[in-house]
Amino acid sequence: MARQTPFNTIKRYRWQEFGLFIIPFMILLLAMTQLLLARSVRAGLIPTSSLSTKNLPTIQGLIPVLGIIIFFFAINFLLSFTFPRADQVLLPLVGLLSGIGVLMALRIGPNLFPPDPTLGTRQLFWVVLGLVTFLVTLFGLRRIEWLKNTYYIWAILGIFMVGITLAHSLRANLNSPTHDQLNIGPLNLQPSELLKIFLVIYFAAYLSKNLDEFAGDDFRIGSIHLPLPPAKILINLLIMLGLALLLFLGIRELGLALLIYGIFLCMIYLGSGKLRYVLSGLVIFFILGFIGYALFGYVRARFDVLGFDVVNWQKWSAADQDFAQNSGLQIVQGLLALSSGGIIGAGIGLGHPTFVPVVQSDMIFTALGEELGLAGLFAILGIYLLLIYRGFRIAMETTDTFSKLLASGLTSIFAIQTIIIIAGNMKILPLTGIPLPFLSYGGSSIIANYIIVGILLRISHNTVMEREGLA
Amino acid sequence: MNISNNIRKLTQLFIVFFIALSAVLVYWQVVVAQQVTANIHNSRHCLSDNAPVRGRIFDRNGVLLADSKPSNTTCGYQRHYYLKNYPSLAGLLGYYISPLYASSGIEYKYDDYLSGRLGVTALNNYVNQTLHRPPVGDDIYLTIDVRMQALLEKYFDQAAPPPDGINIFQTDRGSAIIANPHTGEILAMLSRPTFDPNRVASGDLKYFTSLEKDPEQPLLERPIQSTYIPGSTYKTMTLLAGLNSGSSSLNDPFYNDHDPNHLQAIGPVKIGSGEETEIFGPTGNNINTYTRNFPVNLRYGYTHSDNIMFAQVGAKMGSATWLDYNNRFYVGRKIPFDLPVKISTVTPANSQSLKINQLAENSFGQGVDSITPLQMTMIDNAIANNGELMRPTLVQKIVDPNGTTVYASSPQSLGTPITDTTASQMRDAMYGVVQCGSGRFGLPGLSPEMYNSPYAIIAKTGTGQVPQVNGKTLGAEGWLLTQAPYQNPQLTIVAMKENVGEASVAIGPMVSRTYNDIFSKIMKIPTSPPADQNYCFTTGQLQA
Repeated sequence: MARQTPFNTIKRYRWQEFGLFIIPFMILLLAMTQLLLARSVRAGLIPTSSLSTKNLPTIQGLIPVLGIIIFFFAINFLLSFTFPRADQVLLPLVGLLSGIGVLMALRIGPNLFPPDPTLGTRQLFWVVLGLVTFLVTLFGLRRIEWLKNTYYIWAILGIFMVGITLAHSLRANLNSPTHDQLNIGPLNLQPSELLKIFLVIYFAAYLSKNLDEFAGDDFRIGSIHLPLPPAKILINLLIMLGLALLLFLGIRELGLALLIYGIFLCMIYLGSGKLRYVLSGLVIFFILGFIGYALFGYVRARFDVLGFDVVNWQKWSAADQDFAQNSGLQIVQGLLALSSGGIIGAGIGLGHPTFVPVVQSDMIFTALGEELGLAGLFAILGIYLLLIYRGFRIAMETTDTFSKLLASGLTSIFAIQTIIIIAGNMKILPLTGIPLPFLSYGGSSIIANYIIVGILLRISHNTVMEREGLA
Repeated sequence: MNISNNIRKLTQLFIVFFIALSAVLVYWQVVVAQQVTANIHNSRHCLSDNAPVRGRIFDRNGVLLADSKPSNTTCGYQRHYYLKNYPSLAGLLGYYISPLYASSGIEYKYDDYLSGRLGVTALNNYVNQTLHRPPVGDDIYLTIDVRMQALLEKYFDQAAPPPDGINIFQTDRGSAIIANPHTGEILAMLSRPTFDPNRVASGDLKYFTSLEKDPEQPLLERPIQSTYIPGSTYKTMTLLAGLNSGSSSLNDPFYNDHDPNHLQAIGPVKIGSGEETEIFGPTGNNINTYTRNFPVNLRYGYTHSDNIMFAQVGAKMGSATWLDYNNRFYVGRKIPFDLPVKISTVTPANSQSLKINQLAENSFGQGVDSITPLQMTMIDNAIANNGELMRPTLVQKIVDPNGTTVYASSPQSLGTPITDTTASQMRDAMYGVVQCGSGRFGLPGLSPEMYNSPYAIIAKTGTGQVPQVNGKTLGAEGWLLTQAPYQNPQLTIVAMKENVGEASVAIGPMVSRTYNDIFSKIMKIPTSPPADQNYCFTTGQLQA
């Protein structure tokens, strides 16, 4: 490594990241100011018509956002000395998303039924804890190969987590929306959040060790070729399918089942490049899903909402009215919130997103839709796309097969989670409890996502080091 | 194995998914947004920072009648009505509680304007919606003049002579309409009994239920939603038809000689043949006690309101002609008006024609005649306006929040059902009613206020006999069809009280005093020249 002279440090400072932080943080500061102004207007302290500099909020109100800004700049500073060449775009994107997440928690908390005034502070705490986890991951994970070599540990841990979730849920009320949570001390840990990471590590390791198997012939019975992977991989497919079905039918966690199976299909495709394996997997999943739909009432209940006509509400029957006020309340109110947003939204603090039950976690997308509008949601979708693009870029730049599969697999998690929950909010898929990455309220989710960012940055750093022959 | 290539393809797949999500997002937030947010389960409508600021309602001179103020108890805003001196406007204005409840009257009919959905340009609407500005509704200016409304209100009770249970009965139910016959504008419209729209607007469900159950039906806007037996006022329709079609003239002689070739003044007169035969007279005749010299003319019969003479006038012209003239005045048709009007009918249910005896009864205002007060105003107006019928209007203009007029009514002709000559002859006949006939001689001892008015009121009286209810005789529906001044009619007033008895004594004072105050204090027109002392005798309307 070059000697660290002051000149070198300035030259190698993460200036690109530093620059990319500026606009997101200005957005956050403006949005926070808007939120405080909107609160004063709502409380009747200032009239809407006379906005002047005198009415601007005091600096205390901006403390949460300033805290986020300081933390991210501190990390920018720290990484400039230790990981100067690791990807510089990922953190500004994550910073902006986390900031919006904290902002929305601050905005929504006091208006919830019952009010939860510390929601924003707690979300801020989780972001800070997430950043710490991120640093621990980044600094601790010196050699990615370590993950590859210990893959069976992650597999066992994953199975263990499914096991405790199952055991826990069998005791808990299956109708509770949070029945997959484990209450460990003050942390409401959701094991599924870590499970998804363990699964990707396991698959990346397993696939990178058995790449040759993919090159082999398709699975066959006698002389009939089926569009299925070779036997060894087929067994894995069946195990995953079983796991997904177990989660869905056992603990009624459709979102997690979709997520795990989606990750699995992505990994199979990334490892083999054979679309027919993915299609076969989908066909089997749909067939089993259809059988489940035919057999189990609660499966039908989850899908029935998809056919509910929210647009032509004038034609609702008495049963429809009942549905809209009970089991369909969340999705109907969510769509009302989304539609109320229109093109540019009501403005932060000026909508009524808390009419939607559990808006802070499952339905945060509709809250953003109401207050930021179509324009804001397009921007957020754009940020997610950039995040996914950046993650995949890190995967493509690395030469090591395991790192490639790991980075692309972890990035796929973001993509699949985002698609599942947004589609759920918009009534394209059944509504699930999958969090929207960095935006939904929830500690486990934030920490898990920061672990992923940590791993991605570490892979990026290792790639550069390797390329420059410095590793 | 090229994993990077697989990653590239996966990226493309995710991009496709995100584009699909964006498209669905456009669907919810733009394409169907308006329709979805209109859902009644959307509580956003009911927040004062989200609900449209409803437009105000004014009278023709800008006197505030209704506006909305922020409220926590009802849906965002609460409607307030300012009807202290003219509570009888309540039914006309209607009531408005919130978008979740039914409304009535102008509030119902013009809801699109008042709530700001209409009348603003499409661009304004779009900008408001996009910027999340609550729309501000348009203000409505009525043709109503609250000063005239207040006068009607005041005299409706004050001018009623004490009920005697024989000729005059106690009633608090009735209608009155003041109109400008030359423009069709409705200047005042009274409906009694009335209700307190402020209590309804505040969401007082108990009060509203009591209104709905009240047998006096205070929620009914009587001038346009109630039909009554018109009584002798409807001889005006028969006379109009006879004069205009040429089948009768005011000078047609009526004898008392039982000659089948002559028209008969006293009767009995047999009208129709076979099953349709009906004998009219000699009882129930209005003129037999004081008429000594025969023949008398048709004008004499109108002045003194003789049923038997008018039964023959109707029978002579035939039902086709009589129904044609009814139709010309929109009887049996939907009257084009700014509020929905109940259709007046003169034929039996499920029938479009009349038997000859039914025609004879209808011709003097009994039979199956069922007429709204507004319908009577239309007939009155056409006579005052030289035969041209103007569309009645209630909404003068609609003004958007920027002060731009988005709608202004202008006088609109509905045709000329009668000629100028017929209208002029009719006014002469109505002048006779007040000077020499039923408009002057009501009850002994009461001063004839219409006759005494300095503004030459002309009129036709009507006492619509109603069937007995549970063996109990009810007072007749008292009607007055009036206009003034005779020489150049400026206003028409149609007034009726349910089951009140003799119209000229029960309603005449109210109408006269209203005219007198309007002409002297509001319109400030000169008084009319007094009538010739010998007018009634020289024209043969009174026999010496």
